[in-house]
Amino acid sequence: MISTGRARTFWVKVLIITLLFPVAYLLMLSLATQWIFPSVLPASLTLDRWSTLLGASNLFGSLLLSLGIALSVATISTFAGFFSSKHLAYHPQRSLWIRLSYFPFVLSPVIYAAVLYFYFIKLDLAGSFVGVILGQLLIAYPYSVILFSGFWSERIQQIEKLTQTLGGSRWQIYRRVLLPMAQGLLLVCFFQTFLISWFEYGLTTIIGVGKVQTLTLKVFQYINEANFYNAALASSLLVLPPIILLFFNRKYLFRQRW
Amino acid sequence: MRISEQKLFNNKAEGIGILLFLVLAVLPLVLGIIYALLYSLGVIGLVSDGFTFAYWQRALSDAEFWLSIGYTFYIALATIGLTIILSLFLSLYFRKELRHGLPGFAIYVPLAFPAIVVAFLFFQLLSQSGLFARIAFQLRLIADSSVFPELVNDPFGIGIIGAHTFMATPFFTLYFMNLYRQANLKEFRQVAESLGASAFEQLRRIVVPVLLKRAFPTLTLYTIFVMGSYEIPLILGRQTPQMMSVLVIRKLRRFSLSTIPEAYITAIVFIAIIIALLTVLFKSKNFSYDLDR
Amino acid sequence: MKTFLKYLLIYIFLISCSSSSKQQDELTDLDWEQITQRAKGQTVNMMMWQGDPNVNSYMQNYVAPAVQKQYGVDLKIASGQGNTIVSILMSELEAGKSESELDLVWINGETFYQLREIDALYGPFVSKLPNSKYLDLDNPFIKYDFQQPINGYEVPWGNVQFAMIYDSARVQDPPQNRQQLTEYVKAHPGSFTIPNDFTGMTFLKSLLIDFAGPSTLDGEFDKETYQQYSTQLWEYLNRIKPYFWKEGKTFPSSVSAMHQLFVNGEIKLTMSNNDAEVDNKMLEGLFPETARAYLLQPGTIQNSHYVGIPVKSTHKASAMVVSNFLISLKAQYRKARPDVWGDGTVLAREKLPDNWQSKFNDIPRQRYAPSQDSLQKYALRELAPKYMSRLYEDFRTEVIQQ
Repeated sequence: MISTGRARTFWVKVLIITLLFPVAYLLMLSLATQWIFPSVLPASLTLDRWSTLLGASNLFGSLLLSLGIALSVATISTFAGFFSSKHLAYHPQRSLWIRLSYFPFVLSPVIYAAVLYFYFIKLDLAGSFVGVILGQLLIAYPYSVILFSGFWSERIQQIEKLTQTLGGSRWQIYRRVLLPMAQGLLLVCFFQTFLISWFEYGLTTIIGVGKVQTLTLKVFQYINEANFYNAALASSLLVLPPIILLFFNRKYLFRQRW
Repeated sequence: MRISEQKLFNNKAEGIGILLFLVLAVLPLVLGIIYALLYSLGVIGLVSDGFTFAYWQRALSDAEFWLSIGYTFYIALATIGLTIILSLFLSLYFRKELRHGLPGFAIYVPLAFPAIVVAFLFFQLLSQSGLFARIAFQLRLIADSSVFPELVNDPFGIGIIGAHTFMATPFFTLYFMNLYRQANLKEFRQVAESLGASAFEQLRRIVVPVLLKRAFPTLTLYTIFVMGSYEIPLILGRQTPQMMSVLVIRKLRRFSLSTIPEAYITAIVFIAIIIALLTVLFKSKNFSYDLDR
Repeated sequence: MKTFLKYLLIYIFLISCSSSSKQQDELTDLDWEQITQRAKGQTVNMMMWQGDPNVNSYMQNYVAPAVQKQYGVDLKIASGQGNTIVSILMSELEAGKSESELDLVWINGETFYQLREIDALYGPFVSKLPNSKYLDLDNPFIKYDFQQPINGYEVPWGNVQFAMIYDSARVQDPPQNRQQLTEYVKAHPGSFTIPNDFTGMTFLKSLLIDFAGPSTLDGEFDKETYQQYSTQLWEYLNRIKPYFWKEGKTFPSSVSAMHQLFVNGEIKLTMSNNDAEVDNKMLEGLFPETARAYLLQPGTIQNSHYVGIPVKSTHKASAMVVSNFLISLKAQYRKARPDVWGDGTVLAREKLPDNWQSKFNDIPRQRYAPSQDSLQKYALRELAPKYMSRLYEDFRTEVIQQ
């Protein structure tokens, strides 16, 4: 059924619609006024919800908050991960370190947060912006270490040694040699860790004590009060930035990220 | 602490780099396990009466606990099985189309969805008053919303598996396409073809085994990820059975404070399962090439 | 590595032993003037159930701007139900934290009970609030929270009564009591369910009281009495469960989810802890114009909800200012209007100034909610908190998981 050209084109179209439909549906729902069973289409559309967003609404605050947290998490975990992974990769215990870094990264964030909540309270970090950043770093940083571990090859080590012999300081080596060489990977890591943070819900709600209200928390709150139109609006805000990013570069989006 | 560590490291930068790793990646896990363990044994906790195995006995004799473990595995394995079939199909049959143009863009779109939005979306589409039910109603396929099959909050976790599969399939489709290129499978197929192997045989004997073998570590990691997922089973799941992550939080936040130790026991068991799975994975040959140079 | 572990263990030991610094509580010596002075510029972190858009809008668009303007208090609201509040405050106490993340919490019943059990609430402070002179503290439905005297540890905020809601366009004779409910679900299979949240539990409580008979369950939790009547309750529910929505194999997790099923026509009956909700949901456009509320026989639970201040809150002054505002004439009046929230007032009408008495009396009476007289006539007292937590546990094991 797929071998003939026309059927094939048809199935490709079906695939495209399946993949793009969710975005269209979310946007439509965020614009709908009344859309209840059994209507297949909303009664009418309104821009009201989107326009209140531009004012000083709660949702706009959440958008900025999510952005602030995600940018911090991405910046810190990318650079800290880059720096750490170098030393871990050249360490005799290399394979032990890399193995260890998988544990926090694949562990359920919500369970991780549950067992760590006590310490966050102790450190006075529960319910705070900084606490949520640190909590998300506990997932994003190991990810970054894993991502960079492949970068530190013997070739890189030799180049580094060569620069050292030529009199380059440690800072110069990073700035002039290592960072430029890793530029592509650094960008990938930045975007991936940004998305880890941008998409995070379970850990954020526990460590943030529900007070640090990122966009994902807003989506959940709206679902809870059965306010599906606003949930769709908040969802659109979550989904659109990565899709825009997709236009620029696909490889940033395609990495193991869970 | 620094004095003892210094012997371990060659220089200060290395010390800082590795210490950072220990503090951010190793220490929290150890601390978390210790806290959960102490709580589950009644050593700490506001309502505890001192050291006891009673909570463990109670937790381990609770049918719901075992059901939850089984359900967690079921959801994860069903998701990964379905994902493998779908993404092998897509990556092999639509390899050319998916490389560029609109299909090449569309296949990336689900990667831009957070789990909570996917859960919300599936609920909106699949519930008995959701969009699909409405379409069925308008087409007179169903006379009443209750006739529409249960696809969310259903006993078999169809909604949960569907949502996870929606997230995973595009990823693995792209992943298999990459592997196909990296492993030079095109050339292998040509050789096989010249030796008289049919297209189906090429797939069955060469392409699929090579892809699955290469993808094994990533597939396992994804399975573990699904096991620990929270938002999707929270929104699309039932009151019972529940996946382990949902169960932990429910027991942690229950009205009767006495179930808190059981929440930590569930968490410990979950962490133990993950550690065991990862250890097995690390032993596999497919994985080690990545670790040891 | 060994040394490292040793230090680690010492560290854990040290932090689990470190005790909290005792905060001197000097608020009791301050007069209200000084308290409002101190409150200025403070932030109040309030945690409350946010499952209803009307409630959220009242808080976010009316209370928060008003306290900001009048008292310079920055009210921030976080989402969390009673069990989450207990869990957070308990973890803070366990960690010996001296400063709580929360300053004001919306609570009642078993949450109040548990927070009192672990000494997590500040008080007594209610009499310090100037507006407390209007409170209807003679009313047993306000003075006692699930049979427990509030003793100044929480401020009454609203008073509501459980009601059933049906769509008069689709249901002619809704079930009035337990026996009729049995017949009803058999005649209309799939059109009824029970939400697995506090509204559902309140419904179960009224059934339990129905089984036990009037005042049998009053007073402290009694295990044997509970066993006896709850067994009957579970038998009853399991008998009619096959006729529930989705054959009783699953239950909606919240009442807002249940409302959604009602609106979408999946079920024909819904319920609410608030007798006036039918009106505000209709004004909101969610419920159809034909929705009506009524009371079950022999009665439904009437209860109050409250706000409390965590003992470790660092912004008690501003939390008190906000509490005082919540029970102000203006705020209570606004809250009682069905187009705002429709939450019953906790103020005693006869204590109010004349012009306010008439204002409260002139509140556009809810059109489709049960009348005030019938509410009082069929009001049942709340049971001891333990009944609620047992019902939660047992509903799951005896009904949902069966």
